[in-house]
Amino acid sequence: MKFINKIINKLGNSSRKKKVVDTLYESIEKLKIGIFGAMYNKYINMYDEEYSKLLCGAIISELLLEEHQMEVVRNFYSVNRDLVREEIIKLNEDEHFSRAFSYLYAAKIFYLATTTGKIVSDEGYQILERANELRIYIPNTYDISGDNNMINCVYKISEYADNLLNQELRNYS
Amino acid sequence: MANVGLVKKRSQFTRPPLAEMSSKKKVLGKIKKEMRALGVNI
Repeated sequence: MKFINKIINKLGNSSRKKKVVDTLYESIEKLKIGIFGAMYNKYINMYDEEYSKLLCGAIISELLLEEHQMEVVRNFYSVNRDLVREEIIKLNEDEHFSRAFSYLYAAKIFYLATTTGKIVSDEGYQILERANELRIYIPNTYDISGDNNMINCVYKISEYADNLLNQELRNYS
Repeated sequence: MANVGLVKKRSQFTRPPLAEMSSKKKVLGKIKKEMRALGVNI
């Protein structure tokens, strides 16, 4: 992790840092939409439309510790919390979802590290905890780009996010 | 003049057809709208 710290310090407040932060932010958005689309396509074959959407929304919020802003989702989550977690664990056994979850967590961790300047910020620590609870593997830079260069890694995450989003936009029913 | 051959003609760019791009944009807008309706930050 030391090399990530070095890169973060080196980026300072440069325009390069802004580019890295923007790329990671966009990648997180694309990954969220791609994962939502992939889950919806799966669940719509099993459940009705409303239930499928509520489940997808609850899963995305659960993955990233986002508060459930809508009452309907809050109610769904309060009744189905265990089911939501079980579904994530089940999805994570599928290679397609497992990879997408891993990249989402990697992007979030790098984003938080870059924006806060800390390798593991408070929010970053909570995200790591959540990944452990849900048995989601967080890849390192070697897993993602084959080297220890964070910039290459950010590029690979962005590329993966683009591909996932394009694929799910084509498949979305 | 030596670089003339490197210039791509408009037809050689591998951009997806406009209809496909427009359809993807529509789907993207639809998903985002649905996610926002569920309170997902997007």
